Amino acid sequence: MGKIKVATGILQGCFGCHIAILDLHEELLDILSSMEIVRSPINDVKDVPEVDVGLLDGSVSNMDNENVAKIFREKSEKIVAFGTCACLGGVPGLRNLFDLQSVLNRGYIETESTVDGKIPSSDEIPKLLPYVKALHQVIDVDYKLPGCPPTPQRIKEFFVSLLNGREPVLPKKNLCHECLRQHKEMYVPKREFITDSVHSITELEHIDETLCFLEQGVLCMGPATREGCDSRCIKGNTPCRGCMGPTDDAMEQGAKMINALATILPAGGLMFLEDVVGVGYRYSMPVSIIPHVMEGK
Amino acid sequence: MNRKITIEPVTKIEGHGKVTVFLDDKGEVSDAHFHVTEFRGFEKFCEGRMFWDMPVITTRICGICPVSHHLASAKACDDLLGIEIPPAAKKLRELMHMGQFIHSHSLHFFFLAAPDFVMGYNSDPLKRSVIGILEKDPDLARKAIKLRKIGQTIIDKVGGRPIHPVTAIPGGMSKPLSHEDRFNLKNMTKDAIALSSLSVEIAEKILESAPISDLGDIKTAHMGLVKNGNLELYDGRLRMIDENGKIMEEFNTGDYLDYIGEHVEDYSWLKFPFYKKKGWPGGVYRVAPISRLNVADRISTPLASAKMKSITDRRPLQANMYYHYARTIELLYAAERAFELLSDDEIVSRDVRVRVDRKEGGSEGIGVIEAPRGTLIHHYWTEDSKISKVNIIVATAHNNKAMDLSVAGVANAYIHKGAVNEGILNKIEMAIRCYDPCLSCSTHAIGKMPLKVDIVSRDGTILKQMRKD
Repeated sequence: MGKIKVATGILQGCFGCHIAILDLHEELLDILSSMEIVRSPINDVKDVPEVDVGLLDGSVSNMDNENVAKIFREKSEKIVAFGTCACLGGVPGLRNLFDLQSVLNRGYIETESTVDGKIPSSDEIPKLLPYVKALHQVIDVDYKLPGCPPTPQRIKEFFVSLLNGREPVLPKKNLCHECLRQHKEMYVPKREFITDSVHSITELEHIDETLCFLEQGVLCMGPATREGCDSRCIKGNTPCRGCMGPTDDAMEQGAKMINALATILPAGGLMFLEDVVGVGYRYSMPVSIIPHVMEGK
Repeated sequence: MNRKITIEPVTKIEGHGKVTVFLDDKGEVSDAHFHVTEFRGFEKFCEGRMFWDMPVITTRICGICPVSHHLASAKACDDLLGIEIPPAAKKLRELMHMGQFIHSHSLHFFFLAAPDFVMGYNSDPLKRSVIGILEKDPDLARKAIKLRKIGQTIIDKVGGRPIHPVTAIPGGMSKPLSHEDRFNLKNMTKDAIALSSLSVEIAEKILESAPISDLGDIKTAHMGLVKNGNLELYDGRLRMIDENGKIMEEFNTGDYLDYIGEHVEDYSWLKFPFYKKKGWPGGVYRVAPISRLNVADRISTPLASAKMKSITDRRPLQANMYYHYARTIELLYAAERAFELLSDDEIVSRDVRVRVDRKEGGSEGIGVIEAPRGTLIHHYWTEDSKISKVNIIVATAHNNKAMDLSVAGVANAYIHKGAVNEGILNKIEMAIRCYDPCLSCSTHAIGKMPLKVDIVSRDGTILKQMRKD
């Protein structure tokens, strides 16, 4: 079997997904023995050759990003939305909560250190789209590999599937399924609710390293989030913030979370939730219905 | 006829940065612009978030140096709460930061810069990558991979994840370091010191053999953190020196707005910080490795200190070629400092946080840190614990004007009377790479950096096209 040809590209992202590939360290060398990266992200458009797999990370936020995505689609047999920004829009998608003009005004005019500001407008820099989009909102996507960034192990499994001609599969259950924390009360049938308010971990006297965060009164996105991240944040003794995105059966990650919370909080408990949108939809704003609601038109 | 030359080191497929060189009527270089084509709007969309979430939102600004944003953000939160974190938490955060310097500096030096030197400037671009080094000198390539892995492992064990860490929280750290992790990391760090020393030796050879005058060298002021005069990456005060090395200012990081302003140009989404007292563009200054070695009086760790002394008489370092040497000295410092921190028994203390309450009413906090690419500033305002305003100055921004000037400097040496020497492509790429701008660095890691030059008349006709694949 010949080497499969891969092209990788970055739209608007932080480069973390590409660093995650490098974090395979020595193992990357093994993978490269059966896979050829024929185009790195920085090659000239005209030179993108026909490839078996086009891997794109980052969200689509300006007109250049859109063009690149379309060129990749043309040249690639299979397109992979690589990482959460490409799959769901990611953190930069939070921009969709604001209209573009106010975002630009803040960046280039209002910021306290800016002197005599103006909004850059040269043709040399690409025009921003009014809303940040996920990759599948611009081109057809064959595979999705979420994670901010995906773990090197998951990237490896993904590549190995491709190399063996298997369809890559994503884990289907939620993060609670792989989380090793204990539950003391949650699954015990009883009338009392588990917690009476929602805290930040910084407010806890002691952050229990073994007890479910929800049982400690801390909002954890685990119930609404796809597993497969090795629950790294939770092992770091901080709650999940949902970077793997929702499971297949949940359309809206934030709504799913509120639904889950409703079963463990008292009737008025949800009012203690601050910044529901910024937590529940931190990674999936561009694929949710929220911005359209806010637009109100 | 005025002409414009467009160079796209990061071409349209990427869309993150490109260069335009402007020629005057006589065909001589009049100006150069390094365009940053990326804008995401963190300063707006963080409004409305809870302040304690900021350290895990702002990491997403950069996947190469997320630790810097994580820590600058956590420091800004501590500041707005008006609290001191326990000493062990400070040490753990600094250790995480040293892990990042080991990862980021070795990524830059071995994966991006070294291929040029090891493989030769004019070698096959496909081979001019870490993969090429692997074929030519597999032992060196494996050492490079090992060194970067040590850095990422430190971040992973202390920060919870190697990319976008989570453990620095307002009030300290979410978890202590286990004895087992401490033991393993300490052993690894010994290797890191040896590998970093090797890096310095390689950089020394490069410095001795390379022509250092044609990389668009410029003379500017410099800025960086110092602590009691020592090189400092996590804490301390900001010091600014003029182009002759004289100290102009030394101030508390919380006063940065009195000294630093940001200018906006039409041609870049990245702003241009400047020293306010000298105004724009006279107040241009640089940050990152050579600047930090210029502003510091000394380095506190023995091996890095000895290396710094060897170049003390050449300070202030101005030539871009010194960036690589300075970067490896910092790499060595980071490895030595990590070892020091891991040798301190307090590093495994269980006392790693103070409980903090919400912040009712209005508050404001500033967190400043030296990221691998220079000074990073996070400034938050809150209303009842919700972020109301955010101002962030990222490291690469401070060097924005300097990159323009460097590119113009290179172009000056290669373009005369409208005739463009093909060698310019390589040199512009190298001049930009000296600054290790965050926006492009990781993309070079597993590939090459082709350049495209369009020579365009004012009416838009392409007179000549040059490319390096």
